[in-house]
Amino acid sequence: MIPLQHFLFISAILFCLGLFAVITRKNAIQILMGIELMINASILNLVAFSRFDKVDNTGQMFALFIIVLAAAAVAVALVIIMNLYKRVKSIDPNQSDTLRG
Amino acid sequence: MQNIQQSTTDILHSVSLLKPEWTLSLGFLLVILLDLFIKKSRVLVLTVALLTLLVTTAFLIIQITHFGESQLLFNGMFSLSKAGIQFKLLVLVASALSLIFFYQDHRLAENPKGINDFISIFLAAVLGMFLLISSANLLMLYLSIEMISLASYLMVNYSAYQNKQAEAGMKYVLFGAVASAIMLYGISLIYGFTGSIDLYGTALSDGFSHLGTNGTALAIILLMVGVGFKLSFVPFHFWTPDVYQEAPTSVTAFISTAPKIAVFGLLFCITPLLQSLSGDLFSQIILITASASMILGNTIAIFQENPKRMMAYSAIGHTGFMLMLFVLPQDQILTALSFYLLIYVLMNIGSFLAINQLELQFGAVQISDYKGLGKQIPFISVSLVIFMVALTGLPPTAGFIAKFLIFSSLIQAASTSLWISILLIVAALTTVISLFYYLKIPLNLFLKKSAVELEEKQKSKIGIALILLIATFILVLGIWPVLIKFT
Repeated sequence: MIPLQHFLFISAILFCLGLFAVITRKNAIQILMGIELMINASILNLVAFSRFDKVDNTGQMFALFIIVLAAAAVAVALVIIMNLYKRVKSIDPNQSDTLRG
Repeated sequence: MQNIQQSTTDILHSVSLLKPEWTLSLGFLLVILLDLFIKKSRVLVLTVALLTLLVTTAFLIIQITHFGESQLLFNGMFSLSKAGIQFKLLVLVASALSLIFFYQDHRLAENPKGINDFISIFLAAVLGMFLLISSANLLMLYLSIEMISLASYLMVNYSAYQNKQAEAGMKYVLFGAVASAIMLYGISLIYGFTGSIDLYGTALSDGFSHLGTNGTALAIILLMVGVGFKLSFVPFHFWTPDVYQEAPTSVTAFISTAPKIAVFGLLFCITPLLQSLSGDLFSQIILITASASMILGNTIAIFQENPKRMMAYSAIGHTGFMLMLFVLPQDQILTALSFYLLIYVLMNIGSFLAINQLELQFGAVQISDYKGLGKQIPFISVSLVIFMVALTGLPPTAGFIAKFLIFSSLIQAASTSLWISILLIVAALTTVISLFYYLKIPLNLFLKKSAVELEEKQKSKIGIALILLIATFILVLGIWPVLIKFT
């Protein structure tokens, strides 16, 4: 059996990669992909922990809810990014800097 | 371990105690159906939404007057407490005022898609806030925070037809998604460390007490990122100024009040758990974020030219001010917090109504455009001055009473702890600083003269009536604060 630590290492690496992508990428879609990585890290965590929670399947239930909600959030975010692209013809968050102060 | 029969009885028993939430869901579905099947249903939808809020209020009042004792429903997913119902009533006050405001907002009215979809999203957001206040479980907490977030992304972007508006919307949604992903990682760690996701009960605090300070701090700080995004305290405030400035004014009024009440309600309900953590972790988080929010919000607001952007920074400052209360034990928070929240709702929605009215009538977008308008529209200007005085916290307005209540409940704790007294000094100093920017608006309205006589365009009578009503209410509450009692 794969020990718990391996899952936790993988999920921590996934989370950090996602955060790195969010901070460095220059494209809103790529940032969304980074967010997706971060969410998947926590799903992996929950399912791995749930293996050791013999009472009920709390972690697995939680993971199912997260998968559904992540899809909903991505749908909303994509619509909003599309709307920006229609107006500005660019989805680079570094270029959208008209709001300051 | 419960068997299935016990669970079913519990669910059946719980269903009848959720009347306010059922009403909101029903109203939400009705609005969608009306929009689909009936043409020109604008007025009808408004009536249905108002009725929904009214019936919900009635159910809540019935619940609070016949209140027995706090209990957990649906197998420990949903908590019913007297304080929770009070916060729900406050959310309803903010929502009802915003609902009337939505129909006065020209940007929403000019939307080619009509306003009906928007109202259905709005009702869903209110339902999310109710669930957030009552959540007794990290799963419920996550679901309801996401529900509010998704609804507010859509509301902010609903009529984003210009570059800047679309840009603010994108920043909001990306920042929000990152915050909720970080919070989710924190929740997964909490589950792993303690083996439980129940916010009430002892499982979580027992688990944390075996864990040691570092692990607890990591998990709780990650959880607070999501909460901080919704409350917009420093350092999770980056979205606030942009979004408040570019969203339709009525939406700004809504998202600056109602979600905050809900999150503060949740924080209040789980304070015993958070304060039981080892090493005063929660008080340290509160001390840092509250003082940082007050300092940053109130100083940057001085340099703002746009009134909505100024209100955004002022909102950050007010959040910090309310957060101060959470260093106290739970039973000392409620009165001051609910009173402050109520007054904050009135002041904020009133100011945004007046700002919207000035923009509608004279096209005045910047604070410098307000020059000399005081004589042309005396009633709105005087009300706006009252709101600004109340936001500063000066007598004879209710803003003074609200600030006074918070200071007086903290002063006892300050005599025993050095950090709390420093926090109080920061609060007092930033209140003085806030005079400089709040009073810029009266200065421009009444004392400076305009070079050109501005022409009056259109005006909304309901909006003006609402402004006057709220202003009177703030004055009356300032003189007789006993009219409102929170227990």
